[in-house]
Amino acid sequence: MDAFEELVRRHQQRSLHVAFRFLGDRTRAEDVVQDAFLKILAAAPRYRPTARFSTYLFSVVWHLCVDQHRRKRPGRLDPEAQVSDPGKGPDVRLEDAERAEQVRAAVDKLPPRQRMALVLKHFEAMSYEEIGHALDCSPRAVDALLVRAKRKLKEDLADLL
Amino acid sequence: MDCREVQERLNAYLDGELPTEARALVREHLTACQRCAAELGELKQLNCGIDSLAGMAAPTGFAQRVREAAERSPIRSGVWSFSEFLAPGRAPVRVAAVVMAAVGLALGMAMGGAIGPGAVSVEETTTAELEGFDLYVDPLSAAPSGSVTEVYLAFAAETE
Repeated sequence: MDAFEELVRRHQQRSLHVAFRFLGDRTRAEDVVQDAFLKILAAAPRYRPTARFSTYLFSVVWHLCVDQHRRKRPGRLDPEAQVSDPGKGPDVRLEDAERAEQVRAAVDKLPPRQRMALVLKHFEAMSYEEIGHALDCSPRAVDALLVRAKRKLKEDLADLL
Repeated sequence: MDCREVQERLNAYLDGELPTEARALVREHLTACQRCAAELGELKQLNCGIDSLAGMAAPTGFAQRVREAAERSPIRSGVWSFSEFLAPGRAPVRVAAVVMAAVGLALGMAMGGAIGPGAVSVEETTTAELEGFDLYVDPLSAAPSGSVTEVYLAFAAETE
């Protein structure tokens, strides 16, 4: 169990980032990531490394995020997680928070696969091939997901850009 | 490449995912086409907006909580723990296991020679046929060929 706890410690931050950016809710993100690690532990005897462990982990997180998404509507942006640069004045910080809220709301409206492809690309800097492993699709399909996602976001955020 | 083809590839171009030759063609087009260059600028701006979305820090003690949840879970590594099977709360599971084993054994003994090609039931064996055999007088080993009982006996012999 020490090794398991160490495994969680090493990968918790990235997986929480991904889950939170997909779900927009801190509590649900924690639940998803905890469930992901428990599932991985239960499947450990059958695990055969064909890709990086983080890719495998993100794949499990992705499936659990989709389950959450089907059960509930995406959560609102967690105000505690807002970007806040203490070097900026309060008006600028408020404006940043409002822009982030608009971007967040637009990302929340994306279909699940487009949203997760976006999260994995932008926040985990994964290659199209790695994202394809996580989402069980080809790199070309990942490109198509991202193109459609960006096109939709451009429409929704036209005022911002 | 025309504008439509370039714009379809702009995202992959920014992500560094285009093959070398395609990347060069896109770059060449962008130096000459203001419209596509403007499109690229908008895409970069959008990417900045997406990148600015906040994440969440791992809460204190998260790894320990996950470990504790794993220790409470009955299936820790895909293998049932025998000590968990004997735990007081598992009485219904133990009863069910015993009942299933008893039912399986009874069915096997009742079915007799009904399994396997060419198997002959005990009732179909005539007295005349039996008299011709030098039978080993052990009721447990007189199992018709291909029967479930024969299989059980063979398994038991291997495990002893």
